[in-house]
Amino acid sequence: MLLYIHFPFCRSKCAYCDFTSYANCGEALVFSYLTALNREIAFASERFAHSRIDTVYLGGGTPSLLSPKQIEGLFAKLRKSFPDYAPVEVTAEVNPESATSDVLAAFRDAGVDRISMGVQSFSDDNLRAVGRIHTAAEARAAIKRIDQLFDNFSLDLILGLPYDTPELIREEAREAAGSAPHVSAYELTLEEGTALFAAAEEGRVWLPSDDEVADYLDIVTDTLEEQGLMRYEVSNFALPGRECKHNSGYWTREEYVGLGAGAHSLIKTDAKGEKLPNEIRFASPRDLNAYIGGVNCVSAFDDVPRAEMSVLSADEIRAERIMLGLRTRDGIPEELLSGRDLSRVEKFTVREGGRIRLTRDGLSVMNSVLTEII
Amino acid sequence: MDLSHIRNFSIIAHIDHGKSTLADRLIERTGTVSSRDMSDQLLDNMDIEKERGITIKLQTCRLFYDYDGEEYVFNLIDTPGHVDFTYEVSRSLAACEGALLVVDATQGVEAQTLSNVYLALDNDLEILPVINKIDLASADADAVKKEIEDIIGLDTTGCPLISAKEGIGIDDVLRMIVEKLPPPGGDPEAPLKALIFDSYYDNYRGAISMVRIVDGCVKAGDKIKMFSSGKVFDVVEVGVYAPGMRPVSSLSAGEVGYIAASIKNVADTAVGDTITSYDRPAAAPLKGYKKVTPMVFTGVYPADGARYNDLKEALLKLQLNDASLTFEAENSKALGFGFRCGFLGLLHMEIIEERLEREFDLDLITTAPGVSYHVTKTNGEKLIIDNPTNLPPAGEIESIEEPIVKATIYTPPEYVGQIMELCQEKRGVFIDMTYVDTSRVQMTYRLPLNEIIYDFFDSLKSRTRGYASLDYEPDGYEKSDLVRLDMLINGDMCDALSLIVHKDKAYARGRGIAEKLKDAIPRQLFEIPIQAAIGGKIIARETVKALRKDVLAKCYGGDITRKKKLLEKQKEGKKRMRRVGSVEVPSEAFVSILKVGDDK
Repeated sequence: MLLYIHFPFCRSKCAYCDFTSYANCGEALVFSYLTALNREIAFASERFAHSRIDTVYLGGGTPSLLSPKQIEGLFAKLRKSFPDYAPVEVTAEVNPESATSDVLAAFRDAGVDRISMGVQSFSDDNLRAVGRIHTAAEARAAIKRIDQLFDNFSLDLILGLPYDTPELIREEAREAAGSAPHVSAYELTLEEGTALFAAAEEGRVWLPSDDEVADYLDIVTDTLEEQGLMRYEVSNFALPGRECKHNSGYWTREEYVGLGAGAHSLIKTDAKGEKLPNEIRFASPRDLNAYIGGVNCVSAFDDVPRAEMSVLSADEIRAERIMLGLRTRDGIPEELLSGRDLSRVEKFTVREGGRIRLTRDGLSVMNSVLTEII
Repeated sequence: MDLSHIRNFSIIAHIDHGKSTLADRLIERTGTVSSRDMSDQLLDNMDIEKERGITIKLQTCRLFYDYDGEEYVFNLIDTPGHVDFTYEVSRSLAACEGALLVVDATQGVEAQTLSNVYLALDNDLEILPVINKIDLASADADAVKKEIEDIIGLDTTGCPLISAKEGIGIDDVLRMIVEKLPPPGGDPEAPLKALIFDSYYDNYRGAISMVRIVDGCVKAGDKIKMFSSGKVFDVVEVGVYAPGMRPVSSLSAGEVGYIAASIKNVADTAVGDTITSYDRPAAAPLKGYKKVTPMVFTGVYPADGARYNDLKEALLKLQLNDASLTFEAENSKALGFGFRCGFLGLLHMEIIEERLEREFDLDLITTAPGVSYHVTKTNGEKLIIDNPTNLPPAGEIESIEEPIVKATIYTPPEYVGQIMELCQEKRGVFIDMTYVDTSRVQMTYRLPLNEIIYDFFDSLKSRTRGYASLDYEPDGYEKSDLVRLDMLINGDMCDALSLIVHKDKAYARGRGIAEKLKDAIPRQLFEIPIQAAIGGKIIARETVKALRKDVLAKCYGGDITRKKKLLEKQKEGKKRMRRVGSVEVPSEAFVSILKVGDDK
């Protein structure tokens, strides 16, 4: 089982961000949140007493805003709640400005063995344009600090920022690959309701066209792969053996439990460890008070209020397997697509050893390919 | 009823000059409807009419007016306010002895003012000019009076100066209706002759004929005969509009009202037809009846193919009320099952489409409007073609004739040059130009109808900053060098996009449509060539480049739902697309080509 823990606090909200994250919250709210989170961890440990935790991922928000003491407390709680707690991968997300040596050391001491840092760009113009509160120099300094303490870490880049050029993208990819064994290169998506969306609508910010971003994705892929970081998922690149086990679990549809506001779960087993008749997906409320209040007024995991709940049919599971599997280098077993007409997307697919996966061009137009075949 | 105390009249005007508002005031002032119950523009029943400020369907209303202690009956027959409905206007005028000619004091005489005056004169009506909107700052009643005298040749001495909106001068109008307009004639003892000037479908009574009794008398229980078809019906009810339907014991010569005779189909009560008595028929019908034929044709398809039957039902219902709407089933490879519909003109088409969408909640895809061509094949066979796909191959065509109209344009002199240019571009033949006065020119052209229905009206308005007004009437058919322009999407011909155009226009149209389609068709997994072709010859080409990238939302923190929603949205969008060969074409693409302008 994968365990995801969400820490939804940030020093400031980035212009493109529509995740569950809140800026400028007082200490008291953070304290109440952590208290509720601890409570939910306890619930989960009862509910999933029969499952083993394979990986842990502490995401945000900005988990590096946690104090060393809070970090220690959080992981101590996990260890205490799950008696045979021995995950094979524990990732914590950090941001450059708060990834201090103290915080990083606290993560390491608490058992974190993988750091994922949001660099997003090595251009100060880009960073400023989308409301990042660190500079490229600060990111480089943070990479050094991480490198000293962690063997395994990842850097996030965003493609399609206002000041991106093919040259900049190539340089960024080169620098990221030169610094870390794992890089995630996400394309900027304009989400309704974000500051960047409004700015783009009103013409206050100019973003590269889809074709330019498609070029950037090609450049990044080429550059990273030249340096040995192979594309193992649409947006993820790693040296052999450094692929993120936790995220890979999402794409292969492992069971996972998300704790904290806005966290998502895919549940396959009941409290006795038996297979449920139907798999269930759900999320916790994004709103902090709804989450905190919801956790505090119940006494079992299954009673915590959930925001989106869906019971998956066999067809949906099959569609999910296709949709998620085709994101990856491994693709899906050919029989998952038996009986479907693939003639229109043939050129975007590769068949090998009974499996089918998307070509590089196919990955770029994945949605269109998926709507053809699902 | 004493004929000398009846006045049958219409109000005629150019669009927006205030016809319906005046009608409302007359109704209100005579107490026919209390002002409390007045909704603005009472005679315009449909929402679309109220919104657009135009009258589509005729309405009539009986008013009672007290003049020097004597009661007069006024039958106000409203007329549709658009060139598409000229025939209906002429028939309702034929039911009258007089007409109020409303002229806007700020605008003066316009194209439709004149065309309506001519129609009124054709029907020997007494015309009473009324100058409206005198409350507006820019009103110039004297100048407009002079225009009416100079252009139309009507005496304007003592003509009412009114503001229908403000209720100024309405009493003058009422008084002058009695004084200036003649009472009806007719012989109540003669065999029945009733002119149908409109008909509509009533859910309870069937098709209703709105009539002017010219001679004779009709009452419930009578057997009547339609002159044109010879069909016989039993009268169930006769009545008047006050303004709602109100049964009366009989209608006799000089009166206006309705006849209900359990008629199933409005086509059996054709506008212009004469109703006579079955037992004592008149020797000859009233003159002026003609069968109305559609001028403009378009393919109408449900955006959701599953709603074909709903569309059919809706068209049948509308046709119950509108005999001039024609339709027959057709099948398009791109659009599926739909109907080829015939309309009196562009406005009629727009109104029907709008009613289908609004009143029947249908989403429609319509093809480019076209006209009806007379085709002679090399083997001598003659065809009438109103759907471009049915045009025989060029090799089998001896000749094609297209419908021509005579267009009258009124414009301030400074736009004469632009209008001549426009008419020339539209293959117009100059007939005449006269200076009506120093501020207005009347230009007459013969133009192919297929140019008029394309973008003529919009171009005219934009080139004259809205000052020019246009009116036209059919003027026969003429041989012309016409070709079929086909659009190929990824090599597959899309029948719904084919057009019949003049050879000299084909290149520009083909290029224009290809460009529009290129913008309207979203990029797909492969490159899509868009070609325009005449016969086998490609005359224009554009390319929709292959899609390079989708929005690749990351599955952050295991949030699969977001990704699923994105895919569902994309799939939904796909469902609304039409397949042409292997290409997904959005419905909007079919509409976008209707907006190709020659002059961009």
